[in-house]
Amino acid sequence: MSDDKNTDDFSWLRGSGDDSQDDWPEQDDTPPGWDQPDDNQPDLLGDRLGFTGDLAWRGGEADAEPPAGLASGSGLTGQLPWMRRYTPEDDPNEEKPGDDDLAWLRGTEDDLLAGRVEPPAPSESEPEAGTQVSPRPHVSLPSWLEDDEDVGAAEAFPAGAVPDEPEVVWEPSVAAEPPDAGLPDWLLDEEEPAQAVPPTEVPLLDDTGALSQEWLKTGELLRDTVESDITFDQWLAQQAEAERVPDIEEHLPEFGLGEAEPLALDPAVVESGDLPDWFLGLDELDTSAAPDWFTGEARLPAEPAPLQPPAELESAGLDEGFFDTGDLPEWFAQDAPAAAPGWLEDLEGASGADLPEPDLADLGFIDEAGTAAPAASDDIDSLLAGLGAGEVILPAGASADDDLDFDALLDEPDLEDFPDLPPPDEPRLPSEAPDWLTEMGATVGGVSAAALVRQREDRPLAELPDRLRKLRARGEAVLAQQPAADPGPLAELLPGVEEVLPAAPTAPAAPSLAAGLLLTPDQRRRADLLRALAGAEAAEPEEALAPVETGFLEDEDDLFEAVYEGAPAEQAVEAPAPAAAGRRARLKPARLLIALLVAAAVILPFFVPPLRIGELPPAEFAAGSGARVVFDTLNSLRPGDLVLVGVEYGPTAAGELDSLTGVLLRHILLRRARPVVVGTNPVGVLRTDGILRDLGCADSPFLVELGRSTPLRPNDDYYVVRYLPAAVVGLRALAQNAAALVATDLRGQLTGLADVTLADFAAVALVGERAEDVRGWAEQVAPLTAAPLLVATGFSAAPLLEPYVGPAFAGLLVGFPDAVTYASLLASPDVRLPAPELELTEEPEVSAPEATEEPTPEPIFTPTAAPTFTPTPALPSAVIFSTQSVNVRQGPGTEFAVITTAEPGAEVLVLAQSGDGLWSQIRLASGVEGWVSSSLLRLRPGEGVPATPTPAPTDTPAATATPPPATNTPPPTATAPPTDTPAPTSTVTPTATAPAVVTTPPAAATPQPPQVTAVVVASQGVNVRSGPGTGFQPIGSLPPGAQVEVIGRSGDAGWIQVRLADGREGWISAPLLQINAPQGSSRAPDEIVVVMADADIGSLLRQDAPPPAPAVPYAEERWYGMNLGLLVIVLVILLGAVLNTARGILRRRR
Amino acid sequence: MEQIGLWVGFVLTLMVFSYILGDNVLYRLAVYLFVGLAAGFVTVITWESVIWPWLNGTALAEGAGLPGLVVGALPLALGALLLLKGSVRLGRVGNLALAFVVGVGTAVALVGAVTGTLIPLAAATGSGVSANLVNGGLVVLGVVCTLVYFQYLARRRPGGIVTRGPFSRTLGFLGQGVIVVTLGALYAAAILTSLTIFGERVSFILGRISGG
Repeated sequence: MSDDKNTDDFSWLRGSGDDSQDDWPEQDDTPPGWDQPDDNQPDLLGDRLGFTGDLAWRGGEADAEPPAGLASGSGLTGQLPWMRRYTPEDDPNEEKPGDDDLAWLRGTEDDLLAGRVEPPAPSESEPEAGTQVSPRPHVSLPSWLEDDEDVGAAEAFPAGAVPDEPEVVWEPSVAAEPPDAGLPDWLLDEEEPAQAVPPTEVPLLDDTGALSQEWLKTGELLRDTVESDITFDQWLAQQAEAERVPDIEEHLPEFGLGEAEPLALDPAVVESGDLPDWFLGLDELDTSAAPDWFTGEARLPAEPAPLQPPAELESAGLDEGFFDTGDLPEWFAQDAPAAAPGWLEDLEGASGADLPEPDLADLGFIDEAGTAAPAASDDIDSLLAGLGAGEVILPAGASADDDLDFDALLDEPDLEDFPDLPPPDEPRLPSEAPDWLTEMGATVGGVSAAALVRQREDRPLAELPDRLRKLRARGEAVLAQQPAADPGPLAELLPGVEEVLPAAPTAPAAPSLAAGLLLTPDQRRRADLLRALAGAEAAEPEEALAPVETGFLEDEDDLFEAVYEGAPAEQAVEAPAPAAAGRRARLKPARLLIALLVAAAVILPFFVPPLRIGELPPAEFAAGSGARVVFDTLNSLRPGDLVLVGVEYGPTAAGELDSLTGVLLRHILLRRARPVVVGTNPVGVLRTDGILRDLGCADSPFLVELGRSTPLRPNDDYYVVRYLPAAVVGLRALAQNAAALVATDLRGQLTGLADVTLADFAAVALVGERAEDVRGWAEQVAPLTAAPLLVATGFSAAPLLEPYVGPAFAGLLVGFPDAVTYASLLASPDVRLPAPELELTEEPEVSAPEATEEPTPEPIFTPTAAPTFTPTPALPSAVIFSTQSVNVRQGPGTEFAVITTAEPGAEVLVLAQSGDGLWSQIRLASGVEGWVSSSLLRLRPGEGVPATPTPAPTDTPAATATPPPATNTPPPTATAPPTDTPAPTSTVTPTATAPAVVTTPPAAATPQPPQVTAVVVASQGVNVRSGPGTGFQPIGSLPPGAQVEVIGRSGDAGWIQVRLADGREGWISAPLLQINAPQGSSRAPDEIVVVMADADIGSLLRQDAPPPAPAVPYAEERWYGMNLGLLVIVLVILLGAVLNTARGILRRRR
Repeated sequence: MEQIGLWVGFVLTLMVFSYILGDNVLYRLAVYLFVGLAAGFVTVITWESVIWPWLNGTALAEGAGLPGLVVGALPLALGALLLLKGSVRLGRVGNLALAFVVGVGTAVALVGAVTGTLIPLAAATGSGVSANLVNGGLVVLGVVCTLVYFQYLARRRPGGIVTRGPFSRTLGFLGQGVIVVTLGALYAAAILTSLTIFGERVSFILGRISGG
């Protein structure tokens, strides 16, 4: 198509085969040349109707002659200014300035319009033979160009969409190529309905008003996009070719030419190339209704009426005023070029008389017969219809002398005159028209978005991966499950919108993702909200707004698996179910497996010893560590000291911090101090109160450790004051006014601490769960007291509290391992302070002795033999006074390493003592020197007097005591002499300095100390117990007046050790006996009776009482379980990281 | 009675463990019981150990008179005003009590933070450098880098990009690494805490089963 802007834009009539829908020539508003005024030409302006209408000289005058400028016989070719340069030899396809594109209108040569019609050569853009092309979009085609047998066109324009036009039947006069060999559809003579066009009898909407499934399925018949052999681009090109409509046609009224003769084309004319390409395919058209000028049979009148230019224009020439638009028609004045066109220069000086007269007869405008014109009417159709009759009927009211408003003819027809036509602003197609048809109309004059979308090639279904294919199948299933009566959310929100905007087909005709989407709970919630706002009816709006449980779709894998497996398809349909039923517990196999694995790793070490991996926590804290500081600080407490214990944890952390709280309280109580428990968490304070009650209850083994027979008393031995409200404000109040806050306990009772201040506390021990709570103590309490702040916390808060160790905290205990280590340290005898005086509680019992047949070890005091060695006279000597082997350490403390052990009763030399007197440096017989606890030594009586092997028979202090054999039988209910000791005889040897007991290894000869006896002076029978206390089990009883042998006494002289007649040894309360001095002895009984050491009493207590409960129950098993559980968790995390990394790599590759 | 409590604890522990199978009625029942009991106990304790002793010592004390009554009733009045915050219309009335509580708490916390945290930690950081140069230097570097990481001032470059200087970016990157290590340590510590608590519960259950 010519792009030359200067040429008349009628090249569209020629129609090249390579036209594209984008190649529309711009509307050249330059009036056609034959409308240009020419002074030498007869008046062709105003009176001329152009080829679209009648010529002035044709106006009703049958014998009118053509203007002078229009030479007869030459037709218009070369006669009109715009045809002057055209010659038949010229190549009509050659684009020349001023080239006449109306060469085909010469008409003088009958061959021009007659002849064989050669269809245009098939091109790539044209459909192949046998293919079906979609009908043209809706345009106002001239009726003579319509083929009434073109079903496609008829279907494209349902009845009533366009005004009825006389049917034009074109019949090719010559044999032609196959009808559909490249011709546009509207020119095809199709006898069969195009399959690509959905049958109109298929209803668009169903009974419910929704798009019918049948109609949707017709989309599957679109061979163009589903099963067509051509690509989409090819089809689109075909459509573009078919859609190509000359714009001027839309403005031109249709040619109602009525009946027309069949078109006869001269092959020579066809071959000349003067005919437009599109025209060459008209051999099959039924030209019976074509105008005569079209068929070539029309003849101009012999004597057309001369054109009489308007009087005012007679003298008008191509002068400067030629382009004066004062008297020109509006249509010309508006578009008058600023300068004279170039071709006009050729006409300079020419007058209208020089211009050849057009041979209107050749143009076929005028019928030779000059039949009477039909009755005039106002519409142009009637006017043009008259052309076929050989006459041009002027519009009513128009005459040859009237200036015909050609512009009005070229204007768009008044739509009111065509009531059947839809207004241009409204959709030309009814709502029943399918979308593809509507969208195709939008492509006229440009590229629509729909066209761009259609240009994408959808992937064939076979090329989809299995994943998408299954997803598509699932989507179809979801759609199939949807109720047909569902009008859809759009109809509910905007009623009637579907009539204006037909819904897009949701049937997955093409390979695509499932149309039925699974809405997330948030999307569904929003949709329900919109529905509620719009007032649309909702089944259960309240429930619909509730979130839907989709916990199983948390990640894309679950979503994919769910869709794959098909389970969520039904669930997605049921998703609107109300969520008021609550969240459903969804079992995740992977997470359940991991949880069970970790649980098994923690539990199995309790039962399976081989799974106990790792080492137990150390038995002691590292020197200088924060934990060691805590232990040493509490170990330095003195009896009666007050210790402020803060408890800042709840039941959630009780599993981790209860052990720490327990060991701290034990230590404080073992040091005879009094804990004052406070806290800002009332549940934590209550928990601590429970721990103290368990420790201090009557049957608690801890009492044995304490050396108490009575339970701990609240508000006496310990204080659980009220909880502190207001968090940090309460702590600040405690720091500033402790007396007011500790005056009452948790239950509102007075504590007796009304005068206590913060400075009265020897230490502050805090057990906290969160770092914030501990920090509050460090900020509010610690700065206002000189007492050291000792903190015990869990693993989670420890990293955040480490910076406070030193500036704010004196020491820090962390977690379960430190609790285990602390508990092991509590077993050290160094921890315990001297037990308080034993109560002398008379419990006279006349019951039969309930002696137990437990083989008990030898009690402490037995006659001794002579010492085995002679100590250096300069150094005091001592003996190991213990029932078990004693560790000899490198230094004065349990933190020092053990060098060797000393057997019970071994004689040692005392070299030195520590500053506090708790440790003594000794030298063993083997020469090894080391340190032992002073409580495990008994100095020999005398000053520097070495112990003699054989004590003096009389005043020789030879009180010995042999340790019991190393047997683990507790209660010393029945005393038996040790196997390695000779005759056990009690010896009582007072010394001038102190009643000390010296133990010597058993020797062959045992001196016979004077025997001390006692008489029961109670009015009733007295119990003989296994130990010096009412907590010991009675092993027998003695009636009043019974005489027994006294072998020892307790440190406070409250209990007397006696030997019964049967040889068993026991203890009787001292007030119940009357001790008799030995015969011949001048010493008082109390000076004779051997005093037992406190440690020995403690050992007796331990032997008699059940073993105390461990400070941390199941400590080892829990530790091993923690180790194994931690290992399993680390492995799971690593495995998960590896799997995620591998999955990401594979996904990228895919 | 103690045995009953122990067995109830045993059953409730198993009910909480049922969460491994997902959210269910048993788990919810145990949680609701705990929350309810804790709330009830706190209420009772607060009344017994805080409110009632306060009233006994002030408003209801013998010979307290009007001053005692005012002093004793004032906290209760403020507490009652605070309860009005739940009402839309009368919520503004409780702003007085809320302002008092917030103001006092903020002041106390601020003073404690300055004297109990900022100054001691700063001093400790400095002393740590003198005590151990390497460790102390690392601590100081980590602290500085972490603080720089949270600094968001930047400059607009000619290209329109807003970015910090290279030195700040480098320090911020190091601080980010320090934060990452810290968070990792906290996460590991949280796992250890969980394992400890779980082990304690297992030992409790086994102890109940074995009669210990």
